[in-house]
Amino acid sequence: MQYIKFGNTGMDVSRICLGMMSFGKPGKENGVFPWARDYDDAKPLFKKAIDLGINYFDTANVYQMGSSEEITGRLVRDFGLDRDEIVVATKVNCASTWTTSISTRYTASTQTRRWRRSWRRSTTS
Amino acid sequence: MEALHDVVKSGKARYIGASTIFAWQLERMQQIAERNGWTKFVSLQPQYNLIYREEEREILPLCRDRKMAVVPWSPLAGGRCAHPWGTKTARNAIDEVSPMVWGVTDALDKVVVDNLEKIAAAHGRTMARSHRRLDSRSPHRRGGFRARHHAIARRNRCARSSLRPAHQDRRVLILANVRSQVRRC
Repeated sequence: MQYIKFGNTGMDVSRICLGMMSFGKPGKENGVFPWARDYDDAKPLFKKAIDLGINYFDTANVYQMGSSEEITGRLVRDFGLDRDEIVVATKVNCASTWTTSISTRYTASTQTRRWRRSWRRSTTS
Repeated sequence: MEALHDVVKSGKARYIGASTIFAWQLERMQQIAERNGWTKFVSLQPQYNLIYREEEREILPLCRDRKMAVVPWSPLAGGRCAHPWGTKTARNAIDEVSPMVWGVTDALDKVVVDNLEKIAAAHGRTMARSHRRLDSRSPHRRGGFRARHHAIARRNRCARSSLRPAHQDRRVLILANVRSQVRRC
């Protein structure tokens, strides 16, 4: 696996990032990605990824209504990954930013609330 | 931006990044953060793949200038660039999001994907691998990009190409031409 500096942060990340959007509670009732795979299906894929040296994972609060974050947190914990050795990215806005103004979408209270929930999901599940 | 700054200060996140955003929005938000001494975005996550290259105009050069990390989403356009056009998969049979994202440009995208399929076949590679090769040689990847290469490439567009005529598609060609100029300089 090749590693590169993440912008000007000094962090080393694998050039391949594992997108955790594939994982979450399946089914329409759990979000807009009914094809999402649950924990048991995610486990071997995640193991393969970390065996290959991938240290960068990307999820979001909207991926299957937060269950992707939960699975990500659970996998990180179950494989005993060192939090200093991996990078987990998540996202806290629930809609794209096509035309509406920044100010209406990014109010402080909604941002902080989403962050708090996001953080709780990926660290305690 | 202050709310995001608070998240970093409280230790819940180490860095913040922006995703799917216009160049003017990113620049404005960075300025607001800078003016107030708040945490700035260190990365951008734009859509970037062979059927969506709009970001090459404004925001990728901006990120390069600001030394921001760029992490493309849907690097294979949700699978559209990974298999021949119209291939049915278990996922796309029930996926309602992909048609929302790419449906409106189907007619244009088909041309690109068809060409990618031909290029992949000619080189005996999977489409995904051919896509990655074209992409990894893009001037928007690490190193090599300077604005003047764009101008040279525009002038020489179609004049020289490493692709055979049968595979010529304008969007793929621009990439190939920019690429050859970068390699030369």
